[in-house]
Amino acid sequence: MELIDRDGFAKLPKEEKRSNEVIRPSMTFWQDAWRRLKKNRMAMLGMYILLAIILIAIFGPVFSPYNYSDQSLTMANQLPSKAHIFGMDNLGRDLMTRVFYGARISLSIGFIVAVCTIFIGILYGGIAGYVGGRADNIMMRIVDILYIIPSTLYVILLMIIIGPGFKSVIIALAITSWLGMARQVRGQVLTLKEQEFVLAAKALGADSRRILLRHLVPNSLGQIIVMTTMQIPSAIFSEAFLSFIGLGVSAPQASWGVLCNDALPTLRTAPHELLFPALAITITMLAFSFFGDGLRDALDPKMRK
Amino acid sequence: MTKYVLQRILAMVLTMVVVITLTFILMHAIPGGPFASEKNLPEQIKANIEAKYGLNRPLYQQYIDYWAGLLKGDFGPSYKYPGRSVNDLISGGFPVSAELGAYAIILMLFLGIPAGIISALKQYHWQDNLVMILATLGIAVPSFVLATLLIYVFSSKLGVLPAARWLGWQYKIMPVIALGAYDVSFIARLTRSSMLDIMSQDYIRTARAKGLSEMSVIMKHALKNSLIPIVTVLGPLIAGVLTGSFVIEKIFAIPGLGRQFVDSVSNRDYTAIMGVTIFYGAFLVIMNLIVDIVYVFIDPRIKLTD
Repeated sequence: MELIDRDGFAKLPKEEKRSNEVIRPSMTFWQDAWRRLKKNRMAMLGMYILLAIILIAIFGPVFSPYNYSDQSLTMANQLPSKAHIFGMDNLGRDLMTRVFYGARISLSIGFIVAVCTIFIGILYGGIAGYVGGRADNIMMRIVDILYIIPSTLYVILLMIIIGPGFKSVIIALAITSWLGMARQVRGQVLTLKEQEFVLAAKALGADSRRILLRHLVPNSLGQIIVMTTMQIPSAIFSEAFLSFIGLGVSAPQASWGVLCNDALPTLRTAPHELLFPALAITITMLAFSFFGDGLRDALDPKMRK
Repeated sequence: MTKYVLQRILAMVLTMVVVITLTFILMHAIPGGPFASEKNLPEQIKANIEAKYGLNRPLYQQYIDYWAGLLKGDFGPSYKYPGRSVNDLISGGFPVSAELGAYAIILMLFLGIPAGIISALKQYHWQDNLVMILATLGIAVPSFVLATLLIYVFSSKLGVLPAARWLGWQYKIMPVIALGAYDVSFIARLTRSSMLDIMSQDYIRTARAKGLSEMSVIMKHALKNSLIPIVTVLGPLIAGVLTGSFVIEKIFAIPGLGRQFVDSVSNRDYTAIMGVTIFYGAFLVIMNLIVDIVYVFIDPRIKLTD
């Protein structure tokens, strides 16, 4: 056997001993998701548009020289001009101010309904999934039954009972739109609670509350956020739909749906009255859908590279 | 299989009981009752009217009466159109709505699915981009906006299509497009992603390796399997077409059940609202049952344990 010559080996200089070093910076789940979201150009575009719309909704009516309910009938249905960039509506109100103010109403309805939906959905779906067994069975059969009938029908019935208005729209939409969320949350909880890290937490002596709050909820947060970005536009859509059949918010308040509806009688002579609120809805929907899709890809752990 | 169908039918009956009860409770929870809006009505006349429609009887009795009527297929009289029954309203409006809805669904199947397939096969080419841009817009633009834009362009400006009513084929083009745009877009996107998913499966590679032509790979192996997810969304899509027609029928002045329903809502015609809601409920429940049964037949992965 040939002897290996000791001189063939040399000690590594200190700075080259890096074999155990972590080269990539350690990233939390959220940092990683943000990094991936930033790479998605359409999603970022959607996010910036949404931020801009939110800022307009908050500050637009404040800085506008006109009031959303001030009328000057002599200028009714005027086409866009320098003083009134979006033109005037059928009662001579500045349309730009009304579209900005409509953003406030439509977006608040979207956000509040989404928050209510998440709250009810997490509570209902979380309990059903975590408790399991017969309770889960009964709770989910109820959801199944309610799910078949389109919520629009019940929203309409509820709106007739509580009467039109901003609050009524929110109540009616919140009562009817939590079913999907409850189903999704239950599914999430069911898969998560069988995972090893929950077993490990149990073995370490964690109680139900801790498991639910520290393990199950944070782990399904990604999914919940994605569902929220889908829920907000669908609430805005539903509200526009309700307003369009005359059951939405009441005058002089105006959501985008109300503005579109008001524009109908003068469509032939003053198409701008439909154009601007319709554009506002469409741009918001597009922004939400780009942002939501990007968020879904970014938060999906399976896509992690 | 029989057990599954029986179970589903039982669930369907249960669903209908819940729907009818819920609708009844909601309609009777309205403060003031159905004739509260008619002002200056002398007490005596009001009492007479209420007696005529059985509204002076205890609520549980009215509930039983309503059920008795429903089991005979009778939705009761309309409160706003004296002499007409809710059955008349439904049988007058539903055929028109069904025709409109059927065209929208045909459009969805024969435009949405091919568009999705082309889009998936030509991924990242101009065909794909075009389909995806249109489909994204189709989902983002509300149907009433699309409907009014169509009227503005084709009726007001170009004057080629009539803006309202439901007579010949030229009256039907715009309503069907406005109603179907969302579903066509949705189906196109769904078909595309489902098709892309299938095309990357191992058995597609196997089929190609066997030397099958690209045409038969697509038609025989990919298409059949990628259409399965579409069946699952058919139920909700039919529901969407149904409620979507409320707005479309109102805009185009189409004498269908959707417009009838919206009119009943604004007239507060309670029996009509209740009857049409229950009718829609029953229609959708049956549609869902059919979709579920069809799904079991076409998806080989589902094995029902008897």
